[in-house]
Amino acid sequence: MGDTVVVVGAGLAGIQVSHQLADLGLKVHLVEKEATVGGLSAHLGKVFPTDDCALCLDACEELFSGHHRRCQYRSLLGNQKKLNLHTLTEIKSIKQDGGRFSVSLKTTPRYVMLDRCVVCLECINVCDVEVPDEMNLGRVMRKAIYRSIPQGVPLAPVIDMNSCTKCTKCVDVCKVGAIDLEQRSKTRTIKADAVVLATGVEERSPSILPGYAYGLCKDVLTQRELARLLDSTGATNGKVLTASGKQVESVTMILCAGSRDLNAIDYCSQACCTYSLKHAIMLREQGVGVTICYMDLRVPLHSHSFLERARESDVTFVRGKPDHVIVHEGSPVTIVEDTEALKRLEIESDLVVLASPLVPHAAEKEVFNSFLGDYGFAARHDAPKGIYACGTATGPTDIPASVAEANAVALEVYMALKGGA
Amino acid sequence: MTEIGEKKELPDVFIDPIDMSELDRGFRKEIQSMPNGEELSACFACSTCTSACPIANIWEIKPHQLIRMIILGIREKVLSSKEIWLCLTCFECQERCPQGVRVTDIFFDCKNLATEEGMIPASIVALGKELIEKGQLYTVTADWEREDLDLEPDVPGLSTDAVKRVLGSTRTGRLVKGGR
Repeated sequence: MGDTVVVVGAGLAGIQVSHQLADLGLKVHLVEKEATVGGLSAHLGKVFPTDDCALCLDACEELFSGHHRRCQYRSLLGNQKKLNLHTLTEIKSIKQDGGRFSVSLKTTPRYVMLDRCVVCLECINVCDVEVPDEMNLGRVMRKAIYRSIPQGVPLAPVIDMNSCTKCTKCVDVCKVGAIDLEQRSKTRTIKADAVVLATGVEERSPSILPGYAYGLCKDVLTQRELARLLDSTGATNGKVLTASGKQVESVTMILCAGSRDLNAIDYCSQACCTYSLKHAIMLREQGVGVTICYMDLRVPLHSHSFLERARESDVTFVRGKPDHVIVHEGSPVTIVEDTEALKRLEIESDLVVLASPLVPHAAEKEVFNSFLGDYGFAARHDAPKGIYACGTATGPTDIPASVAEANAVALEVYMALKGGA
Repeated sequence: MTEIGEKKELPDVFIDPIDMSELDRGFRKEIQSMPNGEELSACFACSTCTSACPIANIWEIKPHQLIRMIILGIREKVLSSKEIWLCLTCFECQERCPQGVRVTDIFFDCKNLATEEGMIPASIVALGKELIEKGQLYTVTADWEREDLDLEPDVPGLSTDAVKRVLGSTRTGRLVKGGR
């Protein structure tokens, strides 16, 4: 058997499985469609269980030497010999021939050559174009040549050609000649012996379950969007402001806003209870009042400390699922029946945060369809098709479970290819 | 608007203990066997129905409690409750239920059951009587307004005979005559 593995998706699970396989001596191609690695975790700022910066969670071979935390931006992803990282790259097709796969990739141009760029960032300073920064809810501006996450790997910036005016100022200022505005898309085909899907999940737009005023009121956000506001490297250095720039004093959180609902997504998204509690604690630390409206709190045992800390820090829990959010004089008002007090509450708050369902990324792309099961999630090992999957591609879960699954799958792949027992 | 200020004091006992011997275990099956009751036991009491309901804040027994009472088999209290008759039948609860429980339709089933057992409020019978006698619930009362507009006092072509005849041979007719 050969020893080439293609890993699809460079979120935490994909990074973990790639490191493990490369350490075991296999040749790994890690394919990521965004410009930087990290996936959903890179949006989250602090993550549980340890409240670390998500970018620090990338475990690698040092896991075994006792240093299990290591920043993504200092990791070996970019320079490990056996590990090829392909960013801005999508899978065009996966063909099976006997036990081997032929995976064709399409790389869209970054316009900045990774092998030349020394990350001096003069190009960003010189750029005149300013557009709203999607990563920070469009509340601040970014340049046409930018880094969506400052510590994102690879560290080199990327040019957004939709807003670039091709003024060539960045080309002129770059002393190493790393910028090529005429770069073109590239396709290539990789012969692989195994494919691992680590395609992950994304937050489904809350419009899937109408009634919560998402889109009508700018102060109704999702938990991921709140995480962007709370991120200490974000636009406001972690201070939570309303859309109009006012300091937030009260936040209402609605759990299961689309999950566990036959009208929207009928499975449980599993991670949202805990990250809502994490955000609630972070908000309480800033002195912001927090009310959480829940049906059941499905906090896994290993995250129970979050529930205890939330209770200790005086988060108000209301047992009852809100049916709608109305906008009263510009601020959102949550209508909920408190089933413990048997009282209808109309909770006025500066911010309403919805725990939107987590849906699989892979389901959007036709190329993965034949490998997916119920709801668009893949099996950890689909033996007849020879495909492996790990992380949230197999079902929504939290980071510790994703990383553990990635480790398990790495060993499974290794044993299948190298026959070790 | 109500505000949540102080942390609320929770009572020691949320509801009075249920006397098991008074429960009718067949009640759930009875409702489930009706065309709309199939999903009844899928209810996980999230109370979306209650927060969706435009009038539940004045109800003593809330919609999610009624559904729970049906599942538990508190038959007498459900069928004799005034709430099933107060329901506006706007179907908000049913549309918003995350588990597909046909809440409003189940209340219709309860109303039918209650009627069969003679637990129908007098005001509803009075409405039935009005329908049978006049063929419509809202008759023209302010005919001077029609006069002002140069309209004849009676609505031309309005015939309620068919309605009266059909209704007379339905359960509404029997109810008004004092039967069941």
